[in-house]
Amino acid sequence: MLTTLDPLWVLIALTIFTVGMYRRYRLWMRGQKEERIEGIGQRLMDFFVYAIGHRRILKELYPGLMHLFIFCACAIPILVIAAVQVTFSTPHLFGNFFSLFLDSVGSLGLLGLCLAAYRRYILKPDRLSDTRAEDAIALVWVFAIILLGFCVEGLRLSITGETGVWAPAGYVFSALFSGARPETQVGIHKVLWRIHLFLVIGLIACTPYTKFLHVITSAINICLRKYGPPGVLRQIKDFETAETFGVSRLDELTRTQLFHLDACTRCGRCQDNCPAHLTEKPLSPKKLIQDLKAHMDEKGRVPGENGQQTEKALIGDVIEHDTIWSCTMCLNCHSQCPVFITTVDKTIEMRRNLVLMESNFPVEVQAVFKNMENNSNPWGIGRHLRGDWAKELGVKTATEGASADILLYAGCAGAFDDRYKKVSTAVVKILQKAGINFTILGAEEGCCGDSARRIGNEYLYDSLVQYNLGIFRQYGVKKILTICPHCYNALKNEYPQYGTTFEVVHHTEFFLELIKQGKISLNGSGAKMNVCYHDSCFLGRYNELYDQPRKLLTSIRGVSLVEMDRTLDRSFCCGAGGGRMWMEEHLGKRINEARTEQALEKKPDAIATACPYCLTMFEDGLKSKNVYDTVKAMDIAEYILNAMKE
Amino acid sequence: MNSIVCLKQVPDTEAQIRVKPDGSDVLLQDVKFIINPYDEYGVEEALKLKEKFGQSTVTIVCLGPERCIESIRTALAMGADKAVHLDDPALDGGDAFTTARALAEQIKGMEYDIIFCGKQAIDDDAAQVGVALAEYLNIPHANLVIKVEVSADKKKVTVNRQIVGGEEVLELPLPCVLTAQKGLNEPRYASLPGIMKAKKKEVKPVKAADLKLDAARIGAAGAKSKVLKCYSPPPRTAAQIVAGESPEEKAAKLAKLLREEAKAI
Ligand code: SF4
Ligand code: SF4
Repeated sequence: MLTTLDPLWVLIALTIFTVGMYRRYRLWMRGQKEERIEGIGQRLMDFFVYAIGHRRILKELYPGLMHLFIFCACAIPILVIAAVQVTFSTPHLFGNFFSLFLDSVGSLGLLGLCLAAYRRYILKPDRLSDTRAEDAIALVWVFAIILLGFCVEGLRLSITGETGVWAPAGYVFSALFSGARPETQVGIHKVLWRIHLFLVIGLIACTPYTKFLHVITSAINICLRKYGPPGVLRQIKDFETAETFGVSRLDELTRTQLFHLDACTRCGRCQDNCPAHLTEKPLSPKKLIQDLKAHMDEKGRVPGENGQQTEKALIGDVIEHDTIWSCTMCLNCHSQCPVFITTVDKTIEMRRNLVLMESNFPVEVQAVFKNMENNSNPWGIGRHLRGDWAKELGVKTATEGASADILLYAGCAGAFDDRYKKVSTAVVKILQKAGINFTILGAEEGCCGDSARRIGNEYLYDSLVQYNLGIFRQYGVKKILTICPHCYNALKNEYPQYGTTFEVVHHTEFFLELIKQGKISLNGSGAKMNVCYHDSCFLGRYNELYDQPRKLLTSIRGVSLVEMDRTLDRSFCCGAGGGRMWMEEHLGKRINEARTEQALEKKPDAIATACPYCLTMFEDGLKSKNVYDTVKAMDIAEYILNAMKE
Repeated sequence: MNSIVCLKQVPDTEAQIRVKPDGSDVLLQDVKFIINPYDEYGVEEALKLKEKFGQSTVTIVCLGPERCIESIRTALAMGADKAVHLDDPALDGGDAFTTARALAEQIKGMEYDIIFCGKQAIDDDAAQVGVALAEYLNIPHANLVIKVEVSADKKKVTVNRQIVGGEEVLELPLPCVLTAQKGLNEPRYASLPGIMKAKKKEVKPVKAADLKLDAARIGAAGAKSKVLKCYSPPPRTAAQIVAGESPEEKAAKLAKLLREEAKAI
């Protein structure tokens, strides 16, 4: 069947392919060098689980299956079918079942393509709003390849007179040609087969230049993912020597960050879960990645080809300021991306550039920075008052020479926010009832620095960390109990960048342990109550504490949990993460109100949170929905304490 | 367009102020110090003028102990070019007049077109130095300035002053002294390269002897006012709500309390 010219075509296709890939490679390599990637074994596993195995892609059924079908219909035949076609018969090695299998795979592939077309052109979900001509061409192209494959198979059946039992799809297609004379059939077979072949060769050739590129890049990207706690930001170590901070030009991103841009499949799952996008802010994680990619493409064009090199500024022209400031760093996009693309690592670098280099940030943030600098808390309340919340509680402070196994870290909210002081007080009372030996730092405690860091002020964060580390060292702290998930995440996952080794627990983990050990027992009034628990991003996605808070709540007699539609790792941010707590929300709908509505849909009697920001956001949301008096929002610690009273 | 900004370091607005047991002064241990916020407006305005006119030098002049260097560096980080630090124990214990005199003596020998001060320092709230400085230098001044417009020829300045119920617009010849009021501008946040560069900028130390003022006219010896006693305001007691059946009864009770307990009427 092959002509002598065919190897030449294949060679040409491969050359075009290689040139294209090399061009992309050069673009990625414009990024900054990084540390070597370790853990080959694990990465190979990831390849099989997440790329071949579709683990994350299948998180959503319709698009998941759709993709799986198309994937199999392309991948499996590509590996084998060429041989089958060439030899005009099914390899005996696999036998008839294999033929049947291939037929099913191809049929499912066609089904997958139809599902994809139906979804993209009829259902038109918001996340696919950026449909391009390329998308239609790709669908038709692959469809044609499979369809022609079946035609060819049908003709083969018809010509050879084989039974169609083991190739039912081919058999169906053979009917199309049954009227033709055998010589004509052979002729048609030859023509169709060649078209089929050329479509495949062409597809290979154009892969680096089209959306087919994702087949290669997405798979590799899965293997390049970062391990360890998610969302940990890059540490800046060279304040004294660096000339610039953050990223204001594309080539200041790292190579993997640039690679991400080519790995994005435009599936839009990220944007479908982004609280900023869903409340009409000018941020969509998908668009962020795609805009960066377009910028990379533009920069990659040889100067002269299109007049001049692009003069667009990364910040301002390519990515708007409001886009950069809209992110709550909730990590929902990270969790949902089937191919492990991250956005926060890019957003934070642009924020860093704006804050550290340009002093350009939302006006209200300046006071927050100064307050943290001068009084180590965002509100700017005198730092000597930091221990006052616990004055009446009989808690020993480390300053007074008390030593204990556990340091209770109140956090700024626990120490200064009137509402959250009630929560820190509840935590203290529970610990006291359970007979736990603990201290607090009182006025010597400092801000953990999470907000400063996530707003982009790494310099301020660094100074806050240095102060805290000094205090921790002074008192030989080994275990820290936190109330606020932001403190928790900072101390547990980000302070280790400074070499810390202390243990950090969140109150929800700790209390559950106390219940297990029988140190606290919950009775509760037993009154029936539907409680809706809202996952804090910094507890859930950042630290995978999903079960503990739920188990705590359900161990209270009478409490039943109601879950919001967006829950667990798809939980919708309250709107206060990423330093958004300290910025005005003047664009779009308010995130906290959107989240409150999601909770109220479930008609809960009360709402439970385990984070000071979430609590504030919910209380404000409940007020604006005029249900503040009927639906209470409380921290889990308060639920526990109430249940311990009786 | 060369500017001089007089800068005072003061305790943070939220700092805990305690009085020494003997009542002679306040205790400043463990206190976080900041640039006097009104002086910061002055720094910002000088930087804006520099941005507008180019080819300018902004010099910080600060009188105060060694710790003030931190605030001086902050102003340099914001973008000021250099600083003069009048740091000498002999200058301690003075009042607004000795401060103004020392500053004037220092500034006399410098080149400048305009001098900015804060309208007052938030620690002693005296609001004297800027005005006294202008007198010592024998140049005009305007205080409580909320808008500054320097003419293109750099010969005069139009300022808006805050006055009760409105604004007053004045025109002054340069050089002059302006004291900054809240509303003049929003001081910038120092960039990180600014902070790093500030570490290398020139801060010229000046001792009392360099000023050629005789010892009786500086520091505590030269002060026209003396602190007799420092004390904390009495702690506020909880408010009392006057209860009663009728408004008349409440009013009668209130009058009685005001007369007998508060001795106000
Ligand atoms: S981190 Fe959250 S807010 Fe930011 S882009 Fe991702 S989903 Fe949107
Ligand atoms: S970033 Fe990930 S989730 Fe978002 S569109 Fe791209 S591939 Fe899809």
